[in-house]
Amino acid sequence: MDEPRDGRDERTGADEPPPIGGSWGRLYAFVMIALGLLIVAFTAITRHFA
Amino acid sequence: MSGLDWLVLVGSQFLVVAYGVWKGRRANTLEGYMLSDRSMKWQTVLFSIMATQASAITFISTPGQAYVDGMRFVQFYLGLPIGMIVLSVTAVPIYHRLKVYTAYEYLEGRFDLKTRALAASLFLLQRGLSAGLTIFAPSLILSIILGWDLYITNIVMAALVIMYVATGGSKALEKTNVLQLGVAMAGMITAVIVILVKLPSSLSLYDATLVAGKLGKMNAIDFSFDWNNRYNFWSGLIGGMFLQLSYFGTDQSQVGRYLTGKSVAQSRLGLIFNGLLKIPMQFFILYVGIMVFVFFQFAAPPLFFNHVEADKIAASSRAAEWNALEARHAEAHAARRATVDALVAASERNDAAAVETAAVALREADGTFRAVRKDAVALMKENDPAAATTDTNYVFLTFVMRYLPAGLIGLVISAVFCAAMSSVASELNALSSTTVIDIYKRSVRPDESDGHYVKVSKLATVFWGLFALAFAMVAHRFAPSLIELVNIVGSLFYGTILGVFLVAFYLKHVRGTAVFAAAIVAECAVLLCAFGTGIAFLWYNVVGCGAVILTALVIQALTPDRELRTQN
Repeated sequence: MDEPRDGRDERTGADEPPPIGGSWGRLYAFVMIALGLLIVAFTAITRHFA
Repeated sequence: MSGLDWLVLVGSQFLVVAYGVWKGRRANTLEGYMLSDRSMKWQTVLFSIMATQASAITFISTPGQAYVDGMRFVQFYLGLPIGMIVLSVTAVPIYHRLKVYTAYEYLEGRFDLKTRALAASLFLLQRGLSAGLTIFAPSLILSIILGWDLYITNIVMAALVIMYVATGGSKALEKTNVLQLGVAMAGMITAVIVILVKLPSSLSLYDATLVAGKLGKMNAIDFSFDWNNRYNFWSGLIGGMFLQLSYFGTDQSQVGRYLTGKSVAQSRLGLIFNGLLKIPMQFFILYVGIMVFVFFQFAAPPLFFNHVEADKIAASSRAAEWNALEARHAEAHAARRATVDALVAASERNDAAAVETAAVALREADGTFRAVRKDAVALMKENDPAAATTDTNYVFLTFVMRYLPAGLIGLVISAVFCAAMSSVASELNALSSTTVIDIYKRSVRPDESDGHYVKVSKLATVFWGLFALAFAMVAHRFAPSLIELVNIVGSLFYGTILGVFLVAFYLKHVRGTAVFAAAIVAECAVLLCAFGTGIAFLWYNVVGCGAVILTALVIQALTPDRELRTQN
């Protein structure tokens, strides 16, 4: 491959919007919130049934 | 298995394999054979990623893990969603932009050929071994269920997978992965429905979970920090994130899956949805194991789930002692059952004090019950020091064979086969891609036609299938829990590979020689941790990754000018 391999220069294509969800930032936030909710749920399950 | 089970198993497998071969019949170019012409939508990428990660081992060993160890294994996946986001932001755009076939191609441009070759070699070694375990798991099922010789079963399994992958390539496996994941999940859902139907009709799902909880099985989260604790919140979130970053970011069996996406967005969305769905999926599979555990509070479990080992001692000179233990086991089960009934009755009355009293009695009865099992294991060891005294992998299948009706047994076994084939297919495809792209095409025969490379890719698939088979032949000698073994083997190498990639992405001033030397040092450090300390395996990923980054920085700082001149 002849193209330069410098990572910082190669992150083109990252601006392409997601097919759903509006923006990538919103999707990432959604994933993090879902993870937080799962951790809360697992903690509640652990404590309730212990 | 009944005739109906065989019909379901053979029929479904024939359809899946035929579908795969048909879908892959036009894979005549290298890009088509290895990356499905980069034409997949995010849904296909998502299910292919999930099917690749969820092997037969996931479906066999995870419920058994929950039966023995509770829900705490779910913490292993806590770092995965964060890893998916990091990769979506960093690795996916870079790989797409460069149009690489393998992740290791990137390393040559960024560093040098020897770093690319080192990373590719580490991958080939670790993934070749893991593929062996992925073949071994379903073979183990067949050898137990049908009494077949394990070695012959391994050979048959490997031959089927090699044939399917070598002919279809990536185009075949992407499409069949979706189908196979569907069958696998259908099998697990069927199993849990049967368990719920077979539990006492008066027992609610809440009370079933309460029984498991009072026996310490609903331990989904543990915030206490301990380097030697294999699964807790911190090891899962931090160590697990490093492992998942390495697995999805640098392991060609996963990189190859999302490189089939037809755009950056399609690949990214597949990863992001994997981050959303993976933890709930693993929770569900573990919960199946919890329900099997509750089921065996009411139905009598065998003294030892590996009936081959149990039959061996029952036919030995220690048979009388074994029979006495079985009698004690039955008594202990009956006593424990009485305390379970008392707990459920107290829960139904909403009598909190009575629930706690019954829980204490239940734990005491369970302690007696487990003591009998411990005695049984000790007797097995005395009788035969080489006996396999861990039966985690046999728990779920014992339930399936004893309690599922005809037809559904075939469906669950088919689910296990589907899961195995989807993972092995991706692994062999990745091993073949790395061998051909990073070694053969790069250093051996660089100027051949596409058709030539496709042929060599098929031969490489066969070679790696045979390599995996060789490891599968000896895997039973050190398989306490198959899913743990796979992750332990992966963790020996993943941290180092991830460190190399992180340096490549973020530390622009570090050059090839520094990162190559750092990778060697880091791998030695990981092996030292694994064989010289008691540190839990998830931390190997952090150690390997951290050691590469720090060592590379130090070496680069010591030799900046000469190195830069060499590079320029």
